[in-house]
Formats: sequence, structure tokens, C-alpha cells
Amino acid sequence: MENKLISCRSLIRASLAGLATLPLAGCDQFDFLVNQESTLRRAVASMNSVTYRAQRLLVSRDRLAPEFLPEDIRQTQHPNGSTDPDTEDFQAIKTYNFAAYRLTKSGLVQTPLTLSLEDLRALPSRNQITSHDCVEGWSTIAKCKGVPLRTILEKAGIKSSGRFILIRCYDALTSGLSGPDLYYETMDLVDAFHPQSILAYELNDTPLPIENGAPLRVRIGRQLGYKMAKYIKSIEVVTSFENVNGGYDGYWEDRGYDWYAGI
Amino acid sequence: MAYAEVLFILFPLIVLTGFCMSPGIYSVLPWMVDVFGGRQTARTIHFITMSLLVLFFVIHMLMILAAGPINELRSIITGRYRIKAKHTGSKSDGK
Repeated sequence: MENKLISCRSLIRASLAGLATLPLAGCDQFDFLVNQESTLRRAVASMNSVTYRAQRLLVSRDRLAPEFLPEDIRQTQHPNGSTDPDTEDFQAIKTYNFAAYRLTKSGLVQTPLTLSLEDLRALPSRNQITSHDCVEGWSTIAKCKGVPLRTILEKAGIKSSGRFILIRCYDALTSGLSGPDLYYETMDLVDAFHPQSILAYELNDTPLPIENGAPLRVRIGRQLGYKMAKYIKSIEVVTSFENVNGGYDGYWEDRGYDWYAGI
Repeated sequence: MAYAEVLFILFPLIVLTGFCMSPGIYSVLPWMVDVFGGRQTARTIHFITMSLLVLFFVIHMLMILAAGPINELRSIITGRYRIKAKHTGSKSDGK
């Protein structure tokens, strides 16, 4: 009688043949990893919150990111993402050098604020030369001048239920069925109150160019570039972001990026 | 030797160069980025180290396949690695 046992060699041959059919079906098998709802993806991504907690635990609240000297600025700030938002409301404020621009501060605050660029320039400012590190792999050292986010938050007064800052923007990189997907970003209060978190209106001693986010963009000392939203329309204090757009706390976060970009 | 390299060179290297890419850790250990010659160099070293670790893994997987995975598993569990009788006693099986 023939040997009924599967020989080792035939097993390898069969499994290799099985593996060879994988490319036939394309990479569709791995699509579940792209789906943010997938259990496996969620399990792997849950490590991100470990990174977040560890960094919050080990890095003191007001630890500053290294600052540089003017001679360290070797190139202009590379404009990434939107460079000239074509949304109607942005085009409307763009004329007359953003004279019509009003930053609104609302949500869970004691006194909602509406500030013009002039109002912002009149507030105490901070000048900083820091490195802008993009998740794509490039870095640029640039000088930014702006109002510390902390100043505005203290002016408005955060209610005790406020836990996160939500920044809504004028620009949209993609469009969906319900109109353009406007850029937005969120951060916790530690990042918002960090001394190097500023609402910048000047870049390298000139008014912030449109491609870099005029009239106002946020710079955060200890974060990656995609957290530093450009073309800021409004700032809100919220308890959670469940009902905001995709529900994943930011434009790129809705598309799979990690919320706490401290890596 | 290869194992010592992986354990004492590649693993520490990938962790340390990984630290260099974190803006949060950069604020605490800015000198580490200087040790690796800047952020971009750290990134390049990180990438090369990653490739070497993947290579290490792939070679090991191929070695397992070459040695016969079932027989290997059996030898791990029972301590016996089956070798085909043909090769051991081909001369003496003439009855």
C-alpha cells in the first residue's frame, strides 16, 4: 500500500502552490489592515496610545524642543499640502491682505473671542526658530513669530469639561459627497499650553505667505508637520471629537495617521 | 556572530535611531540626534538597519523551509530529527 502520510516535501509543495495563488487575487487580502475598524488594526494601533502615555509620563510638560540660530535657516519653508485653498470663504478673506479675517475661539470657554489679525499682532508674541519635521521624512528649520496659543486660551478661559483643542481650517485636500473635506486638527491641552505652541502670522521675518498657511497657522514645538494646521478658520475647545468629521481627530487621522504624532 | 550583531548592534541601533525621529524625545535628548549626525542621517541608518533585520528574518525563514518545517518542529518537541532510512542503511537492506 502507498504511504498515506503526507510527506514533508509534498506539504511544502502544496503550501507553496497555495501561496502562489495569493498574488493572483492581488493584495486585496490585506485590505482589512487599511480599514480603521478592523480588529487587528485596532490592536496594533492601540500601541500608539502606549507611546502617547509613555511620552506624557517621561517628557515634562514644558520641556522645550531645541531652538536654533538664524544661520541654521538654510532654505525656505517647504509648502506642503494645500498651497492656495480654493474654498469660497478663503478667497473672500484673501483680498486686502486678510483684513476681513476673524479668528473665532469658541466651544467650552468662558468668553468666546473673535480676533482680527491686528488684534492678534497686538498681543504679546513669541519668536522661535524650530525644526519642522514632516512625517514624509523632510525637515526644515524656520523662524516663526506668533501669539502663544496659551495666551488666547487663557484669555478665553477653558471650562473644566474642555479637554481638547479643535482647529478648523479653510483648506481642503480632497472632496467628498457632502462637499470639500476641510482640513482640521486636534490636540490635547498639554500640547496647546506648551510654550512653543504658537499661532504664527510671520515666517522668517515676513508675513506668513499664502502657501505656508496665511493668515494664520499653528506651530507646535514637539509635533510632526501634519499636526500644525494651516489656514486656521476657528479654534474650539471640545470634550471629545466623536462627532467631528471622520471621528478620528484630524484630516490625516481620518485617513489612518496616528493622532499623537510624537511617534 | 550574526546573532551577537543582531542583538547588540542592530536592535539597539534601530531603537536609538527611532528615538531620533520623535519630536517629543528630541526635546529631551537633542544630543542623540547629533551623535547620529543629524536627523536625516539617523533616518538613513534606521532604514538600513530595518533592511538588515528584515533580511535576517527572511534568511531564517528560508533556512527553516530548506530544512523541512515539519521535521524541524518534531525535533524541537521530541528531540528526534527524522533522517530517511535510504541514506543510512542502503547497503545493508539486501536481506
